[in-house]
Amino acid sequence: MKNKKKYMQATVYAILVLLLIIAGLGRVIPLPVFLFIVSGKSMLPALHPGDIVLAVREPFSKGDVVVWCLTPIYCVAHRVQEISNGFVITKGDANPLEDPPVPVSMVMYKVIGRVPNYLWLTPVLSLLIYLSYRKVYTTFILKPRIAKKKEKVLRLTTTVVAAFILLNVLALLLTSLPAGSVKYYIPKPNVELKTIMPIKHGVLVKYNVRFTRIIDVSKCVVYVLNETYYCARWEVRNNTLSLCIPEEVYQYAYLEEANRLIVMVNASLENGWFTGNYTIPLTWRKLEISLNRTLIEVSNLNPIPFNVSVRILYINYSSTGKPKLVMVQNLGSIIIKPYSTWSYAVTEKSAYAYVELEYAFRGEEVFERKKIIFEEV
Amino acid sequence: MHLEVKKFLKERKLFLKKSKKLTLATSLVGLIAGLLSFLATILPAYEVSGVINGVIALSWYYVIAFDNRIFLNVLDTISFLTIIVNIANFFVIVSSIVSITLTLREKGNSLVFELPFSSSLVYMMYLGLLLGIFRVMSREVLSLAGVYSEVTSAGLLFSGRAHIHETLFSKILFPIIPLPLIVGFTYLTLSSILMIQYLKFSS
Repeated sequence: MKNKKKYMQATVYAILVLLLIIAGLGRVIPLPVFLFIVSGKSMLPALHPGDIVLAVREPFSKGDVVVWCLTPIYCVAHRVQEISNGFVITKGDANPLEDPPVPVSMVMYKVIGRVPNYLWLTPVLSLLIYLSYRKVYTTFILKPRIAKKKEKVLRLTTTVVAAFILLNVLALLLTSLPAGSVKYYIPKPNVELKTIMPIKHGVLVKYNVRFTRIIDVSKCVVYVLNETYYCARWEVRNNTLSLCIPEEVYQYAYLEEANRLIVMVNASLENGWFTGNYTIPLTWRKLEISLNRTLIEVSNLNPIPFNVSVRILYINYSSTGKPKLVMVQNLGSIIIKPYSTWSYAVTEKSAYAYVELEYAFRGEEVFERKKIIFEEV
Repeated sequence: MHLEVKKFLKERKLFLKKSKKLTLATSLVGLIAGLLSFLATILPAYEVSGVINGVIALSWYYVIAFDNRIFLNVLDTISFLTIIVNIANFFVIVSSIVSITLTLREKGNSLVFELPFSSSLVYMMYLGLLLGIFRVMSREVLSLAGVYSEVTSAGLLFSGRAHIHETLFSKILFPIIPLPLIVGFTYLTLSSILMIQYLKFSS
């Protein structure tokens, strides 16, 4: 009976030692099986503090919970978010931010199961309290009655101090102090520029926004060479700013032959604000003239109006077959508004006609002529 | 020789007479030390205001950053280590109470002298751990303070400021020379005197 009890005790101790070896040694060298005690709340609700995690050496994929160790003291059990270029990005389920990327080689185990803290912590603590009580009882209550006085001196002190030293060492060994500052783990608002696009009468600025929202624009200034202008109006929708730039800005830029303008935006966020300077390249295009049967269309793709002189020359063939000017129709000076198209249907008054357009473009006189043959029409 | 024995017996008599008071005083200091150390772990040490709001103690914390409740690994680890410190605190408090009870009931045996001595040693050992984790926590918490701004592709981003305030409890418990350390040294000194005297006269 006594031997059986001894064997039982030895088996329990052997199992405990084996578990401790697996938990401790597994952090240093890769073992087939690993045990890990969760100490933080970063994996809530999947893993709770005090849970024992059972992990194995197995290939892992996105969505798996893995254990990676930066040092033997600092190990983390987090979920895989992305695997690329030999690096793994993990994230605690309750953490708002991902962990810094770690090399795949640093990932030691894949989590396959867990023992909830209430299943092992309460029985183990109860057992420890019971064993401690028994030890104290036999050492200090039962034995002193039969032991010599010399033997019991400092017995309690040495036992207690030794037990607490052991507890201290074990606690420090099993606890990992995470590397890096706490500031890293704070979900700070972030605004990144996605695209910036010139649109009709302004600019469209799209942002990638995290942990905040663009509320409004508090200031919008446009700089062209040495001149300063204010945006006419703006609109904020789904983290996109639509800024309307006054026409005079473009007119000034055109006259001074500027090829860019700078937009300074000051926008308020849910938490704080941001200010950005964006350079918008300016491209000036000549008027696009197209002919559709007898319909002549002139498109202005610039943000400024253009003044165009238009005249139509009607020409017929003489009896000898030579061209002869029949009539000149002067349409006068026509203003073509920004981003608009002017069209005119030429009526048949001769065999063919020339439509002549004259306008100034960046200091040069531009002359364009289009031929309409009525017979073919 | 005869004189020496006489002197020894006289001192022993005096010790037995005064040991009760000394044991009570030592245990009381131990009780105060244990309670102080326990309070140091549960009372809020820092308050954070601004874009980060919250209260941080050694054994717990509640922090809201930019309207999200956050969990910080370092503080979780500190909370875990505080449990170990509190096990030692619990032992110190219980042993002090046992020691006081036994002394008052006049059931004085070696336990009355050994309990304060062993618990004072344990207390000093764990006080080192407590002060260590308090320093780590202070360093981490103080790093939360400051201006939250950065330069991104969108421009200069300003998210706000965070301020850290040390609570009154923290100022009282952890000045330049921490209060638990002073009480702990007193406890160790008293218990050592008691133990030395006991060893001297128990033979």
